[in-house]
Amino acid sequence: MAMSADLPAGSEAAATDDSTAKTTPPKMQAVGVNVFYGDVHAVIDVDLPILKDHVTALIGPSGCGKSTFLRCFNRMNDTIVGCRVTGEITLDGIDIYAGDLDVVQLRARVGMVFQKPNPFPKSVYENVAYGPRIHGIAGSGSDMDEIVEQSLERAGLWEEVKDRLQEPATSLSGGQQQRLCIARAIAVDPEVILMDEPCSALDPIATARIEELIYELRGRYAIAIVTHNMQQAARVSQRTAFFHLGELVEYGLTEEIFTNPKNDRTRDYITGRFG
Amino acid sequence: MSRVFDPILTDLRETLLRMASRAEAILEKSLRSVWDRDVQLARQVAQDDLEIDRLDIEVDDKVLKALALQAPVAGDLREVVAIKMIANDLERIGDLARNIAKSGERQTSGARVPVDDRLTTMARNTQQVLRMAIDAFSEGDPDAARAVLARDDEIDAEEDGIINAAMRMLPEKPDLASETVDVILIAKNLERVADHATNIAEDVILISEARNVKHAAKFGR
Amino acid sequence: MSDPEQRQSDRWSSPEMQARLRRRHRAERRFAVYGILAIGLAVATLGALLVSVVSRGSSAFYRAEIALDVTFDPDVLGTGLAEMTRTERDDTLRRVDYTALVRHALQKQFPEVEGRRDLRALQSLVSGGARGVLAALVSESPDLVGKTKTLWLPADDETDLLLKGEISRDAAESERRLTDQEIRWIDALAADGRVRTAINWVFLTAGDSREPEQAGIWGAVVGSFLTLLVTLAVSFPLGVFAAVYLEEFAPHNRWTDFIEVNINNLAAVPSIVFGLLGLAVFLNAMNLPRSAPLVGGLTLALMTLPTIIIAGRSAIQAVPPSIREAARGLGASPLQVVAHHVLPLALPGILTGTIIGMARALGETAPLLMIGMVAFIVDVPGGLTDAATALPVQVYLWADSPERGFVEKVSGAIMVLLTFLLVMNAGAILMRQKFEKRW
Repeated sequence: MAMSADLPAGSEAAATDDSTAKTTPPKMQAVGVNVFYGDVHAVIDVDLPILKDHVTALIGPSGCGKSTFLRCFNRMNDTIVGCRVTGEITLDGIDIYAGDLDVVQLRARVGMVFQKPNPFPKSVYENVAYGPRIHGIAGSGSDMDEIVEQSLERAGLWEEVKDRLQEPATSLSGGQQQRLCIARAIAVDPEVILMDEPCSALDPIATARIEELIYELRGRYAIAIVTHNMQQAARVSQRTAFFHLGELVEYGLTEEIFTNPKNDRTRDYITGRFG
Repeated sequence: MSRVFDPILTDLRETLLRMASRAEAILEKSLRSVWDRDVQLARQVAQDDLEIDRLDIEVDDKVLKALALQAPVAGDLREVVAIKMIANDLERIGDLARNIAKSGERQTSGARVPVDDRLTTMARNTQQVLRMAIDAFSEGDPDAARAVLARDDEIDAEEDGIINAAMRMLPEKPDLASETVDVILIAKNLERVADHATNIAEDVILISEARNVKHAAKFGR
Repeated sequence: MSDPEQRQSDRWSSPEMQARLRRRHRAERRFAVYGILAIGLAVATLGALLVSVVSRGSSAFYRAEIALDVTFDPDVLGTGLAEMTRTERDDTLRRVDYTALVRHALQKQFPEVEGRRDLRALQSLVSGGARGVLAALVSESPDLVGKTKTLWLPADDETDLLLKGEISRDAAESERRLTDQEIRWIDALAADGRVRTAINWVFLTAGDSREPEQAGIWGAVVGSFLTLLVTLAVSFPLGVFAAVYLEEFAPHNRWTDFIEVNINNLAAVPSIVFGLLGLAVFLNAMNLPRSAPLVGGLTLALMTLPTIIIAGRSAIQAVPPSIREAARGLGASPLQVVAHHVLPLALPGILTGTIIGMARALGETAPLLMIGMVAFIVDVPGGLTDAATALPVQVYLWADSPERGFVEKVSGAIMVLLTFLLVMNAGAILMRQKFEKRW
């Protein structure tokens, strides 16, 4: 009696995301990336786009190479002795591992937030001002004040610290410190923000605040987040990539991965049958 | 992450309420088509039912996505699950309305059956309890839902009365046999619509009070 | 209680367990007692050292003075001094025989003394330093000529020692430096109220001298100060930069390991070896002035460098890598990471190493002896290339002297050395605290 008609896939929001993704090129693209720690092949032949205005989650069990892979996008692996990266990673089409590329500039365009909040042992203000200062984005004075205020606002921290800007950053709570680190990364006006398990050292309330923040930030930046918390990936991201033993097993729309994963390994991991 | 989940829940509610208003509309249309013997109207009902079915699938997708991606708990979880159950009831109401309209299509003779008045009353009551149930969901009001549950027996009694009267009439007025059977069918369909309204009211109580009052008579809830 | 629970409870209250608990408590108390004993021993030793030094050295800070009525005889001093300029006056006064004035004053006190030998003995009660006192007075106020004033003049070191009780009156005359007659004179002056003890400013403001009562520590203090200035100026920047380079920028291979081993060994090399190195390189090869703070400072800098490098590397290693990562992640260059983040955090540790190094440099005598800072220097050094001596060397020289008057000066000099050390360390600790606040 009821007839099935042609229906658009999923909700309208997902449809918009998908159509944007199909028309604009990805902000960053990894092609055939391999990472070796000495003889250990940690990341195996991975292709992955990081889309603008999207949150892309990298999930997978411990030791699957997702953090290592993430750190390739801002060349933080350069500083690790014995680490070798092959393949191509582009930012707006330009290979970031090209010989003449300035790593310092790259890291101003591709920012990073780490697992354990690591504010500098300076004042709140100085923490946020440091990046713009070394990149010559602003001097001292009202220009810098503006940048600091805007960054703290966008990180959802301004109201809590506006009267405490000169106090040491280490006097803030864990969740506040992490938001400060996010503000610090935002202050240099990056195009991409990489987050390596940003909530794993925080309590649930602080975690929830940062998840909301990430969800809001996606309107401005391309965000890639590594997380071992699947529910967090489901809540926060629009695209999900599942890693296992160094390989990219499956990549797709988050709602599809979590309602109907195509790969058996993905399915087993998501349903908690291993990992 | 309430800032993400709340809009999802709101959207789900609105989809359901759209479905509900269509169900009410389709019921009204089908009853009108019977009373006014409007065959055109009766044919429109089939189209309207398609729309309800489409919304049902939309609710399916949205509920699945909300559960998979947001993993709601407590009241949020009850509401999401209850919305799916209510959607099922509304979809069935659409089908029942189509059945009523079919009876209307067959009524070509123009003859009136003596139990018409009681049928009219029952139809109005049924529409009333459906409205009350939907309002109870929209307001989140368990007391209003309980008022719906209270009327179920009344409507059952009306159905029994109409069917008995019709059965007695059959041997007396054999030329109106087709019309009499249609009356019985319409009464039965209306009673089932009222049952679904009762289900909806029970779901409302589940959402707001976390109590499952289904099959109350059998389990003495 | 159930059976297994009962057994558990029995286990903890059994006599064996009680005995074991008691043994453990006793062991812990013993350990605490050992700790307190060790600290007590250290404190007692330190206390004994300080007490012995202070008890022997405190008398160096005051001296005996004799009041005499000095007539500023124009025959001795000359006339027309008031009309001269200061420099002309000083020139003229240089040739004056001030001892005559002293002699006359003393004769006034003891008119019965006659005979050249007795007069010389009488004169020997007053220090030769009285000459300088009188000269300064007349130069300052030439209108004193012709007048008589009662002045407190410094006593000779033997007189001084007697009044401080260092010379025993009971010993036989041949065994002491003062004759009975001299002692009688001194007692007479004392009975007359013409003897007092006053603060010995000379000790703190004059340079070295043959006469104990005129010897001062100031030359050695300035010498030490200039030497350490050179040591700090050379070893601190070199040491810090070397530590930074080795930790942050140098590749980690066999060569850097080799360097690290050698630096650790250098820190343990006896200091006299550095003196030999200084002698060979700075004096012989580079022909720098002997006995100068410049050379002393450079030699000590070589000795201090390994200490600062080791402390610096340790402090830099202690900076958490998360700070470096955060800075790098923001796009800071390796130099910026070091300058803005690593060094400020490592500074307290580096300063601690510097304090230790500088304290050692302050007290080292052997290398300075090798480069010639052991000479007898009277003048206070004016610059880095003037001949100078240092505090520990001065202690050594005075300890080596035969005169009894230098005994108290040795301990006095040690007290000054310890005070210098304290002030230096306090300054460095204050600076370290200023940086540690940033944490």
